[in-house]
Amino acid sequence: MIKYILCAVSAIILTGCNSTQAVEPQDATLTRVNPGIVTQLQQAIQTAKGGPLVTLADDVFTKSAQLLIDHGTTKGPDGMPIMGAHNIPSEKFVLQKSGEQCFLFYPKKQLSIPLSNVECEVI
Amino acid sequence: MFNKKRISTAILIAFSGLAITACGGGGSLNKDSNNTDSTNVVTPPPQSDEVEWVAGEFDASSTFKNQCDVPRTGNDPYNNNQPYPDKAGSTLTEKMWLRSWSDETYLWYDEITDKNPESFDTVAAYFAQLKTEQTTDSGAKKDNFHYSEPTEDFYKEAQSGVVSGYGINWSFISNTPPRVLRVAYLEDNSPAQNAGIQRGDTVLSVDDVSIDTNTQAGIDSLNSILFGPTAGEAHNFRVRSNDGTEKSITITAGNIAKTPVQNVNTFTTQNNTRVGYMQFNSHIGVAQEGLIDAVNKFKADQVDELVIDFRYNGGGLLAMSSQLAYMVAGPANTDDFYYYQTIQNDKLPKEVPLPFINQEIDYSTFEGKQILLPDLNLSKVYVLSTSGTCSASEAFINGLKGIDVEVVLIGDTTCGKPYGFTPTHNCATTYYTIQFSGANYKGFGEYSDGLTPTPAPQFSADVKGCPVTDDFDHQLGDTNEALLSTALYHITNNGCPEVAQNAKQQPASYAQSNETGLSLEIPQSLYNTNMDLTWPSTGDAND
Repeated sequence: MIKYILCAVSAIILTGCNSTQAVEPQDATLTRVNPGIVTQLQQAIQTAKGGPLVTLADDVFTKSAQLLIDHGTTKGPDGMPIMGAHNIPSEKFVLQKSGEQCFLFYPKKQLSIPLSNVECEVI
Repeated sequence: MFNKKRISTAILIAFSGLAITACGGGGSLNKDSNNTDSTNVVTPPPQSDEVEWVAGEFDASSTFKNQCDVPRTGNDPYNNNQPYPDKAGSTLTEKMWLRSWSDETYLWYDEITDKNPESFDTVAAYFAQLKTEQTTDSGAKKDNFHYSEPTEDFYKEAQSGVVSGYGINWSFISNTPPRVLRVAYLEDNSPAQNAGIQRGDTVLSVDDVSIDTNTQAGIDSLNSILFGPTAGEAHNFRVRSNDGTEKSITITAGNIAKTPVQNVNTFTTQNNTRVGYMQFNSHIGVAQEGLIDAVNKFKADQVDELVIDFRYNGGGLLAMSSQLAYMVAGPANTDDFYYYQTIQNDKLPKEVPLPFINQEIDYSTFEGKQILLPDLNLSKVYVLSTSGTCSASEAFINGLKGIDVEVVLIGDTTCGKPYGFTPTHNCATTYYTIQFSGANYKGFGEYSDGLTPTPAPQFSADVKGCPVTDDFDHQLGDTNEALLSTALYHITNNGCPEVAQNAKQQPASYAQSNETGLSLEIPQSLYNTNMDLTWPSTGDAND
């Protein structure tokens, strides 16, 4: 009897795990990117953190699920970045996929923004 | 060998009140940067007609903070759309804020001559002279790093390491006719690289505008096409390659991801010494993975020697330079020592030193990721340098010298920037005044004339090595390239090749430049240009 109950409990736990895994967002990369997707990402970033649109690479999120955003580093008259030795933190965003939905995740605010018509794959 | 105490200290430094942060607090770029004065005295805003300059007497800078001649109205998009903090003031209140702020935080505040602010026509003119006028041993100005910029420019953002352009990093050999503009290096998989552009290529014309044009319209075209292209624009470049052939290539600009770590390779010398080489271009957050991958490769290859090519590395994240120093030297050489000590003026408290950081960092929070970095446990490292080797790159050299890890410097004297700032905003302008210098474990940090490679070091800022001119005639990572080949020679022979002793000469093929001709503009923002190199200094911006 005890063995039977243990099996049942195990089955429930495993089912629970499987169910959780199915919806748990996982890091992902874009399978294709075009100017429209870049614009959508820029707008999602703006929604998450405020400020104006940021410049993104033409191949954003195609090689890594993580995106760091830095302040523009102005150069001095010597041609060197003014802030040549600094500890300025970046803003971090992560591309994630849950089910068939791709999200832009902003860890700082624990905010997930769904992306429409975007294809991504779990890495 | 995980050292939690050390990492905690590192994180503490990253978020300390001044240190090396950008705006008075590591995580406060958006929220608190308008309230970063070291003095927090709450004082009612003065009426402009009450403000009076008295020589040698300084009110707290907070007294004059945000009292603007032309106060901004509305909300600040860079600060969660909060209202601007500006209040009605005058140019005098802005100058008085600068005066008090400089007195509180400038590293050499006691070398500023306290002149009457009202004798200066503009706020900018007044700020320009709020610095020391003393000179270094070489006769150069002690303070060459005194800047301001619109706050809006300060807050411009982009994906880490992304620049608009072709993926070309230029080097100005001559900025006036006959101009010489050559390709220094290319970003991996960039439009320029994919189109066949190579290091050393010399620009002859762009869209049929000669590089030697001396009309304003021509200059405007060159500046726009070379340094300010919009993504999607296609332009024709006619260049001369190192082999003398000319080629005409059309390149479409884009928003290009930089490759901060390139050309990672291991060579084996004739006497079977295994030498690791990597080109490290910029201390940016996305470089961390590339550095770790490179060190893991060198470790797997069991390298005996390491050459790091810093020649175009103008600095960046100081913590990353500490991580790299740890990965080179390893725990045996770095335990119980610190990497970098911030030195401020005597009105400010002493900072906790930055340690050699031994774990990966989340550069969005500056928290350790509890993942130990690989290390090579080397007691010697070769560094390739030019005048473009700056700030955090110099800190790497100095930090290792501070713990007696031998640094052999091959190339040119570094830029000489052992200083840092806390960018501070007031009335829509962001000001940079030198507020700290950095010293190594031995307390040395005075290298404002640069770190100089020499076979026979005599002075504190001399570093054992070989003076060699940058070699555009070979690709970076090519063992025939002058700096790398000199390093390899030094590894084998423990000395400089004879030619290196006299190698710092301008290539004979470059004619004398015409200093009276029109100059191309020097781009100021990394994110509006694909320029990422130094060029001959034109003097202090405030002159």
